[in-house]
Amino acid sequence: MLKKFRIFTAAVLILALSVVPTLVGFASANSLPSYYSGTVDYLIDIRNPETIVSTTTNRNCVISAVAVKGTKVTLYAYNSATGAYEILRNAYGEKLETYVGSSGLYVQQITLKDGLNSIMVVANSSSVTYEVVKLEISLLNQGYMNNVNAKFRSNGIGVKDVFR
Amino acid sequence: MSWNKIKTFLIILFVLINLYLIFSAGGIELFFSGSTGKLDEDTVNSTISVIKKNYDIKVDYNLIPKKLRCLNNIDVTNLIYTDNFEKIGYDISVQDSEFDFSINTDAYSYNEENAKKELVDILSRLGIESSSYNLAFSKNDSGLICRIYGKIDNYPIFNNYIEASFTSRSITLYGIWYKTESKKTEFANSGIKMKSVVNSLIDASRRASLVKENKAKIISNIDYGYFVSYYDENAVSKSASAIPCYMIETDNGLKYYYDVLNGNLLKQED
Amino acid sequence: MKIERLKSILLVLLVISSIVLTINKWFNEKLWPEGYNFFSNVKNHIFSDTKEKSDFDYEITEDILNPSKIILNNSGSHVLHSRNSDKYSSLMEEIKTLLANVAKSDGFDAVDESEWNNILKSKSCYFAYPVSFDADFFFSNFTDEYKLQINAVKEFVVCGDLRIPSVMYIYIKDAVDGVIYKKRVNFESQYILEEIDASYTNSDEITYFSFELNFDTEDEQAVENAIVIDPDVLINISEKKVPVISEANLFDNIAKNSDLYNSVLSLFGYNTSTIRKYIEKDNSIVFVENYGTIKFHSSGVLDYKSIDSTKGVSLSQGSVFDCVNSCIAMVESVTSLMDFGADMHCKISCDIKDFSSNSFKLVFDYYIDDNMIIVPYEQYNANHAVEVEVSSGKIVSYRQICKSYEIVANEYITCSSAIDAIDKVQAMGNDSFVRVSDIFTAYTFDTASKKWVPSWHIEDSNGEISTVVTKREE
Repeated sequence: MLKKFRIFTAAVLILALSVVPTLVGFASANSLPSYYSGTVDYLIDIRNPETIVSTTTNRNCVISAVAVKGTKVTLYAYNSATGAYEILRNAYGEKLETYVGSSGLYVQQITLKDGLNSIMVVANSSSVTYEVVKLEISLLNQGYMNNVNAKFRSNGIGVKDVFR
Repeated sequence: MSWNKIKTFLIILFVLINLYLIFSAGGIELFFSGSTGKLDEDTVNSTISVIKKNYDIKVDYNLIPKKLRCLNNIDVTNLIYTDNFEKIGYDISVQDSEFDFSINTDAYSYNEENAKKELVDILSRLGIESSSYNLAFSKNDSGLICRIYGKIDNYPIFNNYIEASFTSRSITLYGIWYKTESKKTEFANSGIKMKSVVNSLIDASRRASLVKENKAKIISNIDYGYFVSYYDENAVSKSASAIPCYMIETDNGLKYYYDVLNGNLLKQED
Repeated sequence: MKIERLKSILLVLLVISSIVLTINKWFNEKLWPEGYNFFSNVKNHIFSDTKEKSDFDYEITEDILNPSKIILNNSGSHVLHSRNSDKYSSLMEEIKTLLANVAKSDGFDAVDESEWNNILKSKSCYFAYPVSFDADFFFSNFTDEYKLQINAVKEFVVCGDLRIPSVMYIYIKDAVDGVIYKKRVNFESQYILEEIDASYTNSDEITYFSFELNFDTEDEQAVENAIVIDPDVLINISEKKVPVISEANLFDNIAKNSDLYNSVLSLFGYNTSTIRKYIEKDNSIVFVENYGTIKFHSSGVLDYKSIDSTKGVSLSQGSVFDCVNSCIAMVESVTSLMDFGADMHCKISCDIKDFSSNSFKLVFDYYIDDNMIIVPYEQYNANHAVEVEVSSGKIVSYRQICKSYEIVANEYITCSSAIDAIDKVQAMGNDSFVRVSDIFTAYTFDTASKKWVPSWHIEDSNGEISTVVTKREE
């Protein structure tokens, strides 16, 4: 009788403890699986980039959005080596997670890698209420641009006309 | 005639012309670099008759100054803000710019001579030098009274005035005084224009004629000197400007002070 | 022979002297019959006080009217150059010549706002003034005639053509109706193009225009009641380091500084011989003359008032804009007499419209870099550092704060990002705050600590400004 009771208590405790991390402060996970998706869609509107799929020649990309006040916004980038989205950090190693203030405005500049960048924006209002937006941003590097430029210049078309 | 003789003749001629121009009216001003106010006989006479006719006040021809040199403004410091005054040690009461104090003396009888000596001493301790005032003694019921009038060079400073009373027990002084740093007056350069004393005379007569009691009959005094002007009636300033001023006095005791540069009435005293 | 020579010389001298004396006497005689007026001699007619106080017609040096911001845009990086930056003067020189060339001929076309935005996102040089200038006034500073139908100017952009090296374009935005005019310029400024190319943000300060962040649209999707920020507002998304400043009273002991007050007096046309001087108990010094009073407050304020609206310091009596320029030149001249700190400069703070008559009021403020020094109203009973009232072409009132502000070396205060600042304002519950038309840092005086602190100021579309003190001490 006592042994069953002990096992039962232990099981309850383990269950309780496993739930606690998700209740307390919902600290952002360092990595999320690639299939991760949101539970709601009213927390955040991405303003920049304007489209889900975009290209740029600028290594610095600014993600801007309007979100519900108090929402925590975290940025992740897909790492093909691990097959998961890793949390992005700034030059000081700090995680790129911010709480949106009373203005509802969110801005964060990130540094892109050459080629395709899959960025995931996670907006949490609680551990169970969150919205996920995935962005695909391609960074065209200078070498590639020079080639394109050279090709089009001969036709009298400027690069900016093409990629407007 | 040779050219040389002609030249000699011309030289003499032009010397005479120059002498005439210099010494006739007008030429001599070139050597006075200052601005001057001058009146000619006709103007003076017509003024006298205008005043007699309109206001029934007589003005003596000789009283009116025919020629005055324009004075420059002088910076003056209010005595109550000077070091000497502040350190003097007497129990002085000050209201606005007017100061007032008494010195106790042992029973002592004053006559003009020793009163004067005592007074000069007190004034110099206050920082007022003997060259900057004139004394006028008179007697009243309680004792000797001395009126101290301010001046610089020979020009009066009209509103510098201290009255000293000598009784058997005390000497009391009260008044207003502005000190000047300079001892000599300066004359204004020729760019400055003076308003005629005649204008002020007419205005003073007009005002005097409005006073019905004890009517003024003659202008008893016309004087020219300085007046310490106030920037703001309500503000007491540490230093001010003494400006050239005409003072016109009537026989019934009215005094009018006029700004020389713009002819405005500065003050009226009964 | 020698004697004869001497005689000739003597004769000539005597002739000259008689002529002089005659002229002198002639002038005397001329005035004599006027009776009540006294004479003045020949010298008076040359130097006299009798003529109207001379018109104030110094040449304006344009400093006060220069742009408050020059931003070099290079593919997403925006570097702000304000008055104290090294590049500012050289960029200004180039642009003046360019503007003069541009204005003279036709060839302006109206373009879309999207083109303006694209130019700001790529490679260009953006010029913005603190206030808007009536177009006639604006162009009159560069050229006599201009051929553009535009109301007023507050910002313009210059860029090169990415494909063709020597071609440049100018885009001018009408400050009244927002229409953007573009023209190709027959002027090549190698300097500007090089500066644009070489420009990069080397600091940690990251700025973006609101339109780049798409914060300028009211396009609502899921999130409602989002704040809208006008497109050309430059937003610091990172923290901003602002230097600490100190203040010095230039009129401390003014009563003894006769060089200073005499030079100011002559600028106001006062005749130092007839002026009356008063020193007040607090050591302020007052000068009174027939036409007006000028007071140097020992607390650091210069105050001139004429006795009535028909008297005052005369300005240029040409067109309204000549008068305005002349007034601005006067402010510059007075300012140059003061020993202001080298980092300080003065800018106009009111729009220059087409004032219908020669009666108007101009106001100016002091800046350190691009940070305005905001005058504490309670202390000075004024909203601006310099306030001038002109009535019928004469200055009737002139008030200037004469305090010098200097940057304290190596001391900075870090202000939060502009976004944080807006958050703070919103958190205070200001309901009407929906549209932001400007965000800028400025110095305000903290009466508690008696120091000047930099803080964010957010201006909404109604012109109301909220001050947010969000600073972190270094």
